[in-house]
Amino acid sequence: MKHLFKTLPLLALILLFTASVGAAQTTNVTVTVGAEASLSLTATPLTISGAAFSAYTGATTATYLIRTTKVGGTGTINLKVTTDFGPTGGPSVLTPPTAGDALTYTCTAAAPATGCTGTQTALTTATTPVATFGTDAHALSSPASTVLTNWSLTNDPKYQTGAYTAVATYTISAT
Amino acid sequence: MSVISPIRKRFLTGALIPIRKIKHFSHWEFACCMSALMMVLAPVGSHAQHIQTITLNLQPAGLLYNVPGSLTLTHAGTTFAAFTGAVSLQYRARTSAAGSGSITVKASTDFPCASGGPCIATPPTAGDALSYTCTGATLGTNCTGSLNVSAAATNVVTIPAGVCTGAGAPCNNASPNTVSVNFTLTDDPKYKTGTYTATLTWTISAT
Repeated sequence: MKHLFKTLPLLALILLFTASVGAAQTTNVTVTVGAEASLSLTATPLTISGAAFSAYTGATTATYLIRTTKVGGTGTINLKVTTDFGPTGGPSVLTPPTAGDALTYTCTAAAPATGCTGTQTALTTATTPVATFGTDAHALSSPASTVLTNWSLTNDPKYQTGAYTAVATYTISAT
Repeated sequence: MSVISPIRKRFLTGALIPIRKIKHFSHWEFACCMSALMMVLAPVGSHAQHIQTITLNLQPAGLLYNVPGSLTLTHAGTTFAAFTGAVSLQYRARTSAAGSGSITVKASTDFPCASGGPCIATPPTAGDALSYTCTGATLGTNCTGSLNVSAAATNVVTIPAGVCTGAGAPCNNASPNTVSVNFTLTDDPKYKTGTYTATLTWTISAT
């Protein structure tokens, strides 16, 4: 029996934990870049730039960032007079004292923007165009991309003297 | 045992061999029966002393696991705000008394730069980057400040000497250990629209 059940020899069990450098693991980082746009505004007051009863003029600079979809994308900058001139007695976008009184503007833009065409009349009832963008348009923060709105307000003798303020709201969008 | 021992002796001396002559009793069945018998008898009849010496040679070790296979960076807030996202890593580590350890990350596959989107190796605009911060490491020290992901490995966690993962002595910390890595990717207007993927490789090491 001894030849079958002899004493077990010394059993040395060595558990060796190696892996001083563990197995690498991976993570896939995915980002979906979509169409986006943003803008900021700086404006100057409207002032008379010429002879008496010549139009009041001024400008608003819209500095924008935009990215339109690389295939089929578009973008726009529009404005709307969201608060008409006040107080009463002066100019009004919605109800001009005299037919023909208007707050109008032209646009100055450079690529990637295309400025509005001709002279536009600002409205309180609808948006009007300032600039448009085509597909795969990119406007960066440096150098800054701007669109200029050149305002002109009829100087109607009917207006009572005083300071009048209106609010024009710009909207930029991108698809 | 007084009954079993004689049977075992007879078996060992060949006295039980006639069982092999039973009709239809094959060699295979015989072998099975004998093996089973041996397993029953061996512990009963043996008085030998069994000595087992178990030697554990514990080397420094590190293990990352449950690493998320994917991470989606999303916008948080206004337009052209950075894309953000976070992953939580789980790890175990053991360092020697004079050793150290670390968890690192590198971009093993860049975003498809030629597609006009984000790019780690050659950003479209200087300052564009996939960066990260590290928070809440339960073993070791978080990376310092904000680091940019690159093709070279950069630090996530620094593990000091003589520490180990586990609750209670001697490790006295969490099990598993965890760390959060918070990613930020610049949203450059230059990026063309689309979906872009890069692959990050995490590595843990211990000495």
